[in-house]
Amino acid sequence: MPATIVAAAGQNPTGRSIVLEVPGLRPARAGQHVDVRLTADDGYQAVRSYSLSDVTSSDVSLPGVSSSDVRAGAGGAGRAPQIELTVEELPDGEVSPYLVSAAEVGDPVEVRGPIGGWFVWPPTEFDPDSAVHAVLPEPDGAPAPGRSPVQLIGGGSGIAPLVAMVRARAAGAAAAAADAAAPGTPPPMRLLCSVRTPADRWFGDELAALAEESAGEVRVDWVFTREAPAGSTRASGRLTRDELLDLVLPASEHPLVYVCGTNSFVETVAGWLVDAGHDPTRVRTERFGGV
Amino acid sequence: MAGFTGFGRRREADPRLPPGQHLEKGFPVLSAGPTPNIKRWELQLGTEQGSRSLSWADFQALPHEQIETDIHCVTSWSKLGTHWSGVSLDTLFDGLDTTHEYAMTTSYGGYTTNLPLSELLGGKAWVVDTYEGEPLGSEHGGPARLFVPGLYFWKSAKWVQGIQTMASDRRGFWESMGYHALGDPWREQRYA
Repeated sequence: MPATIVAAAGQNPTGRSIVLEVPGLRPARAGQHVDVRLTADDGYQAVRSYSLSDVTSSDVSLPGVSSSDVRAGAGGAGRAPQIELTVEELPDGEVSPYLVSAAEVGDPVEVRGPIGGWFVWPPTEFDPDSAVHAVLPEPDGAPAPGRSPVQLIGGGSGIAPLVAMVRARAAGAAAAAADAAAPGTPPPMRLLCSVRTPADRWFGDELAALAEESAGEVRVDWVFTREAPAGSTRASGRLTRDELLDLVLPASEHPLVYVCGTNSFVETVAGWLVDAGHDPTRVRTERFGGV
Repeated sequence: MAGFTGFGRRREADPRLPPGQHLEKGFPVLSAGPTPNIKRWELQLGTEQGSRSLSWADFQALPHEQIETDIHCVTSWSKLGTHWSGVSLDTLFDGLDTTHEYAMTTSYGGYTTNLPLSELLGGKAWVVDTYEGEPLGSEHGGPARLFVPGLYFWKSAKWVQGIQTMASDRRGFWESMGYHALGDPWREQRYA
């Protein structure tokens, strides 16, 4: 469906976020992605999938409470659904260089979606007789997925769909605080991000503010692999197994875990979690690959 | 929709690429969860008229076929001219009669995917254990995965554990979440 770029903001040296207005889009869920199709002057087309980093303005039946409404100047009656993508420029990429370095506010693109029902939060409640439910029984003693604490782990631009989840939680908490009839306060959420240097952070200020406003219900930790911030007690370096297990919610709390990043990052982290006793069916993964 | 300045043709079209696909030289990994730790591999095959269970040794003893073909992932990448070795489902189901028209595959780790039996039999599908002359790596579904190259690659279930025929179609894992029940890349059946 046709979409228009209505806002764009650089995130760090290699990435930026783009807000699309998509009339008629169905409400998106945090963690979902869209397929973006670009068409060149000669009719050549290319399609790539991008995770949504904000879905809180995609449901126009809800009151506008999100930060993205303010950022994109939306809000009020008659507004069209908006979604935000966060894109990292890949050196050999075909679509990402355009989205990060060339696209301008007002440019048209086409989107298909939103897509995805597994790597989403709040988690999908599957029919009791569905093939998903039948083979993925809940671990003994675990709360229902929708009431479980949430651990998010992102490597590099893999943070994008996790940021959508943190924002969705904040919107849910705000709705619960404003209206006693709204669904209850959402479960606590932790986000662990691994990036190369402090300048490579995504959404650093906003995530810090959301954690600050959450009364301890949201925690955000950063790990830097190449260059640590001044005054940091941790030297730069890749996340280790022991550090990971120190920073994430323990398996005994049965957290619902979402891991997103490159295949090697996800494979390593998910393996450590399962070895440490996390139930494999509670570790949901999304791997970026291909250009 | 009209094109616009700034995005130009960057890659050559290839007639072997289905609509909306682009060429990938690596081999991206896509999995819904951790790579499962398979201690003892066994393959269960079943119809309404019987079942059989194959150990790894049983499976290895069956005749393997060499397959050269293209593969197409719903996330829009394709790989051309890949080489695989495995056992045809015609061989695996030989002697297991059925009037069913559908099958559900299950995998170690909990994944499921549904297919019409017509896409599994007749030389269209294998259980493969070798990719480019090497044992299939665990990230790519090893020790053995279903291989149905005529459909989007999510149908080629990694870590396959069982294939059970069924009288009517039910949706598997991704099919329960908006992906197409069949998934023919040439008809671009990505989403339901």
